Amino acid sequence: MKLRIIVDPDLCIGAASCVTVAPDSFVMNPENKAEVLEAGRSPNGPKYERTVEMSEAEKENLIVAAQSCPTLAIAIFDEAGTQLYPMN
Amino acid sequence: MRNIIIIGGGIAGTTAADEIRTRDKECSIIILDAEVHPCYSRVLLTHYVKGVVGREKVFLKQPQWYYDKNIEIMLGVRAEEINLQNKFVRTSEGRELPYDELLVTTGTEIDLLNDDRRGVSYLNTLDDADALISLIGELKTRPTAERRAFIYGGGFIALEYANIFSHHGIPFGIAMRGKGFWSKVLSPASQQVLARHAEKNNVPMYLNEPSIELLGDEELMGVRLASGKDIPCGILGVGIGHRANEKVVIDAGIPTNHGILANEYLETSVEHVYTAGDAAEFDDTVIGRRIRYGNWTNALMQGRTVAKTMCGERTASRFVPAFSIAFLEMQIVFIGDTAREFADEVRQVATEEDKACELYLRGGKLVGAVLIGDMTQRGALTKNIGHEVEA
Repeated sequence: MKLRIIVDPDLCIGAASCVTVAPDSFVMNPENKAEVLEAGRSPNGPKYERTVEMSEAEKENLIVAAQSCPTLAIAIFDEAGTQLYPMN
Repeated sequence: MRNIIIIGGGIAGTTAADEIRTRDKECSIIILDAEVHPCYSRVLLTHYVKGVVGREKVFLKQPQWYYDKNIEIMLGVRAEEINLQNKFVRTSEGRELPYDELLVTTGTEIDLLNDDRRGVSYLNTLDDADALISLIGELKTRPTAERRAFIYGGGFIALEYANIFSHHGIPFGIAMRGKGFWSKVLSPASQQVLARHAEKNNVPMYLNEPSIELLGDEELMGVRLASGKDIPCGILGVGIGHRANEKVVIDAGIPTNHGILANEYLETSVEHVYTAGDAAEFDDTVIGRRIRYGNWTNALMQGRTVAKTMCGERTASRFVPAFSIAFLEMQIVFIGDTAREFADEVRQVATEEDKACELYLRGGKLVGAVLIGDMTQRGALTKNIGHEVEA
């Protein structure tokens, strides 16, 4: 399945809990903000948002990573554009 | 049916409740929370006070979440007594709730000044944040010359206040008990990096001030430092430390030290009693000593870990926490164990005018690190925590 992952750098405070939970999806940059990875890589350079292909298990872990963010800086959307997290 | 009681509804307790419910659909889960709000992000309070996020965004759980998960949350209810012999918790409402498993995630209580005025602010709870927003709003209505704030403290909360006052365009100064920020942790060279940054941003600092006196009758008019200097201000932000919230545990006879004592599985020495998060002083097998962390991510991860143990999948808490903060846009990260008194050696790796890196070693292994200004080594250092380093 395809998921869109967006990090809001204005909310990100560099806690890096997302990196701990999902190191293949997130990495801290020199500005101490979380960037989004695709399977551990940064194709086309560092980005704060990506659309990535994931298995169901990977998606569950990704949601946990987003939940672990203390500032709710990570938003997850499915292919249809429905926001999976945070729930409004 | 198993009865699970969780004392403390912050991120550790709430995460534990969530994980337990995922693993056990049948047990009863009751959370006792002294605050009147559902679980919210203490970390987001600064963003909220700065007006970056609205109040509703601070909440991590809505009341419906607890209902959907069949988790009973008792808001505004304290645990007054833990009766270990008969395995029940007596609440501030006078109820006696039986438990089969008890999790204590009471977090911390902050240190207070021994005096108070309207205008003195602490930044621990959502109620504190609401009060600070009111104070800032009122201060902004005063003539420009009176729009001043002050900060007493030399750690994380002091810097949160600095960021808040700076964001709101309120001039401020900072006084601290030590000779610099985190004076019990950082080397003088690292403290100097932060002091220069304060100076560059026109923030006066007053060091070695062991006490502060509040001036004004009911409203704060200013502060008098121990050195005798009077400084006018309408708001005083205080960040002078915190300690584990453990009175009910001590009264029950559950062993404590600087926190509630636990092994690496977050089990206390009392059967069926567990702890996690900011209140827990546990055997950290990564850094090789007993430690209490006051850190959001650690609390969250421990909530998950202790829930596994409570559900029969005994899991050690093995995680390298990091505390990240900006001081007027200068990034600072504390990784792992940075208690200087427990380090065999503290190495100053690099210090420049606006950067510093310190490594904390014990038994030949890297146990902690502090990065100021330059975060490029953060990932590598985090991975190396608990591993041997070259002499």
